Amino acid sequence: MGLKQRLSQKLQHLMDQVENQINTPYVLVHGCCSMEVENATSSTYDWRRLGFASPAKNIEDADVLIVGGWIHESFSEQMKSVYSQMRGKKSVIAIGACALSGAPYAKSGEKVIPVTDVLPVDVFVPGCPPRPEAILEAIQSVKKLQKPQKDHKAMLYEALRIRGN
Amino acid sequence: MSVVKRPSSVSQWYLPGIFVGLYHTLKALLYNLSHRQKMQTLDYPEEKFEYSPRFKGTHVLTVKKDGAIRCTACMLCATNCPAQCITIIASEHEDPSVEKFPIAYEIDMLRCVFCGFCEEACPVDAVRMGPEWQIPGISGTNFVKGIDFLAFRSQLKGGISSVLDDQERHGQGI
Repeated sequence: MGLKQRLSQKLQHLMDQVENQINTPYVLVHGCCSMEVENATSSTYDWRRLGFASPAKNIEDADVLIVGGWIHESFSEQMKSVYSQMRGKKSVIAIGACALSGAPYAKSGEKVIPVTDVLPVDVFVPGCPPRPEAILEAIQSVKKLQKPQKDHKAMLYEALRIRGN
Repeated sequence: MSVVKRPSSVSQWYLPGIFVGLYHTLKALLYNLSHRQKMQTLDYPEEKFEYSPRFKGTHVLTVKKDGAIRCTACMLCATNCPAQCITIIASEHEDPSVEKFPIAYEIDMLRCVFCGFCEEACPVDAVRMGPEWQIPGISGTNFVKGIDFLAFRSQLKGGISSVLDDQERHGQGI
């Protein structure tokens, strides 16, 4: 009985460790930026190598939201509801000129708004559309934001300074 | 009358389909293991894809032979820009042979759509589309790039010189 419990605990711990290292994105991209996101998931630039799972079907499974394509004013409510349903440490990647600023549609009389008006964006990926490499770079910076690595050198210096005083 | 053919009980198990799929997966796996060099996947941060020289990337402001910026602040690029992302502030130059020059040339990278219309509009080969793709940044990064980034960033190694110089143009009577 004791052995069984210990085994199950160890398995759960392992599963948690694996789950902490993997981010699951929810892709909310349309237009030509979606082609580049597909390209980043496909075999040439495989984003699963970087610990980023394939796009989730349910919003509840995802902890990273990828937004792209131009966003109409009427779409903002749904975007907020999508953001509220995500789990864990939420972070948002905004892709492409249309999502970031409205680009050519911004001053055309259409009610196109930038994502920054609706959601707190963590990583900006400029480009029209951005290259898949840029998306991979954004993924890496999201991973750094979600799990900041300890800077051992800075910690050592800080400790030495405290001791010196 | 259309007759729907129900699948027989044997084909409902999808056994041949499963085995064909497994065969293809195994074939691709064994091929990739034996031919590591021909594998399609790039190890991105170490291995990079080479784009063609015609790639439209981040802008480059060319420089003259003496190292000053080639741009004459004629505002043609800012007028032709469909996204209206270029802002130029022109100023008078001390040298009487130079009519005017930009003291500020800013491109909003979040708004630019990299269409290349500024490059087409430029009469003096001052703006070009460079070879690099755009680098993402976390929130708080300044994406409005000025002259020091566009003309003298570290990847350009001291600036790219333009094809025609002012004195050559005056000599040819242009």
